[in-house]
Amino acid sequence: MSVEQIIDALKPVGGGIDVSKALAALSSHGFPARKSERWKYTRSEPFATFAAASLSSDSAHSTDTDAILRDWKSETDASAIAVFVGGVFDDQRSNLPDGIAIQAIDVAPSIGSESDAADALVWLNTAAANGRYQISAENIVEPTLHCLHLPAGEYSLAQTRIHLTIAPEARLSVVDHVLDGGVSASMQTLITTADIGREAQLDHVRLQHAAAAGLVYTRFDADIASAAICRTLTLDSGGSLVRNDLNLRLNADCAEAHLNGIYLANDRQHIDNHTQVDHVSPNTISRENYRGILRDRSRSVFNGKVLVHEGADGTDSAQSNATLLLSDHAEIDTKPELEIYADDVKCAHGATVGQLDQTSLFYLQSRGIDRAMATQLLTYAFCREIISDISDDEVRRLADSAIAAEIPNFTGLEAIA
Amino acid sequence: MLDIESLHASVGGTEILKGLNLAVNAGEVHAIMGPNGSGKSTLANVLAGRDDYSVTSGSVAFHGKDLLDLEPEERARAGLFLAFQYPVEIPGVNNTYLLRAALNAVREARGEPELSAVEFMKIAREKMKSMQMDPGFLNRGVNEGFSGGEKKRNEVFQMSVLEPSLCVLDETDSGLDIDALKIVAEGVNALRDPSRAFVMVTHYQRLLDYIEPDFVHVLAGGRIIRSGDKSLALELEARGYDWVLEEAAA
Repeated sequence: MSVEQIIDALKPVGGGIDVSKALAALSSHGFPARKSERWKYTRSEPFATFAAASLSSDSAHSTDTDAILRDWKSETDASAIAVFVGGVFDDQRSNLPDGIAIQAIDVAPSIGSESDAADALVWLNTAAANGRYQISAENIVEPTLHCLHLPAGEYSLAQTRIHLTIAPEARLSVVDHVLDGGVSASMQTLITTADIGREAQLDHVRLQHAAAAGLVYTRFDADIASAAICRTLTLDSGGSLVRNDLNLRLNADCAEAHLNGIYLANDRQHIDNHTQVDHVSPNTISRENYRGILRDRSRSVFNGKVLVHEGADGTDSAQSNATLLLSDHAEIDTKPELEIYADDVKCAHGATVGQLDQTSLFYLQSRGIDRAMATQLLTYAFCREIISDISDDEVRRLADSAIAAEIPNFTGLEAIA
Repeated sequence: MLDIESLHASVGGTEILKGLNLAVNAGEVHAIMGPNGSGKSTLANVLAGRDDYSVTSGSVAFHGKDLLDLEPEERARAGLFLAFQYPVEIPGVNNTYLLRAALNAVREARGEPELSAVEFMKIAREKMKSMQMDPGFLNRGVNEGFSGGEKKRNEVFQMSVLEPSLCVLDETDSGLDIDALKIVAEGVNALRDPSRAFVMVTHYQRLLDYIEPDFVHVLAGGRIIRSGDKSLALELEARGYDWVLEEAAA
């Protein structure tokens, strides 16, 4: 039994009260079953099995971090870099922006439930994070901080917990790069919590390109104060099984959340995005736009919950999810979920699933563009809209390349509008 | 240049073109007129190779080649251009990129060398000026956020850059105010050339005040039921279509 193996492996390690609580929860509730509403379309067993196997064996550190970093740096002019190997921050190889420190902490802010198995991967991370860190932005931080997350070796489990504190009126832009680290199989869990102060801004981008047989669990929870803005972009192209939980709470007047996502899957990849926006206070704004392209036998899940709390009048929320199915065997399960307990709110939502627009295809062909290229251009353009307003040029370019890399033989990067 | 013989075509199982014949020579301007639903747009789309339309019988020769055997992109490279009735907005694909890729594809087919970005921009800017278009359009997505009139102008602009030998205009005048119509007509007239032919599908005679046709054909019930010179268009304007339909039925 995977859960018992995990507990057996972790118990001797010990830790603070949060670790004991997490282990107790894991021990009594285990991993979510199919009947768990939040895990209806995604299997949790592979995570449990992998974690059990990895935790009960000594996996050798095999990643050639320097070579990977050299390759990565040669493709970008990003200058502020934080390197995490096997979940542990590597100060020596990092170059942090002015005014930013990454400090190890003993206990991370707790999130999720203590009794709902849907949060089992949070418990696993809490119980056995390789590293827990606090990053604070006291004012406007420049440039963008690129965090590179590498597995330590083949079949290894890397778990990181990061808490971001953005002081009032401060600004921080973080890009998490979840990389394969040259291994074919690994499991990575990356949990980020954020406190965004009054009139502060946090831009959080995650470019996930984990190992082809990689398991990825990410969670991002943010508390957003008055007139503060949180923008997220989740772009998944790697991994075989990926689950992202995103929870944003608009806690005070005029707080704003912008949630963007792109999922690009082929073969038998499975990518699940569960998002929840809580409009706790009046006059809060949320905009959500997720788009995906599914090929082969890939599968994706989108669940977008918008919860408008009692008294949160003047809430303005819009959500959209669109998926291109480029194969007869690909599948998307998409579900908007609106719960509204206030009057005078604007909540729009829409989901579309389809193929490429035939008229657009014909239009391009009628201008001499061959069908294969026209197909690539339209596929690319479909996702392009999501990232076109990223303000950091280098981040946008990296996101662009990540999309282009998923379109076979695509050579049309100059086609960007 | 273009020889259409006994063309039958259907959309979704309904036969629209029922034995259409038309011959177009280099240097000529042909106007195809007719009541709504007569098959005018079907003809334009069939020529360009849209796959919602299936040709059930008949033949179309273009520069001596079997046009119906070619993919839409091959038709474009062979010198055929369709100005769309409803040009498509394609956010995310850059106007400049599309046009340069299109021009280079056509040039390659003509055995001409590829144009550099700089050479291309010089041509594009010049032609934009004559179409009185905002150069800012070049950096936007294809037709993205363009008004109806801007889209039509963009079609004629593309046509002027690509220099096709056969221009097929599908209701290019629809949705244009008089100023835009004049600009579009001037763009078309500037392209008139002894080596180039035009097939203009239009519902109204108005366009023909600005672009003078050599031949006017009335398309009804999927066939050309009457052909004449530009005076036929004036007569249609004055008397409507009923008399032609009645005479054809008699």
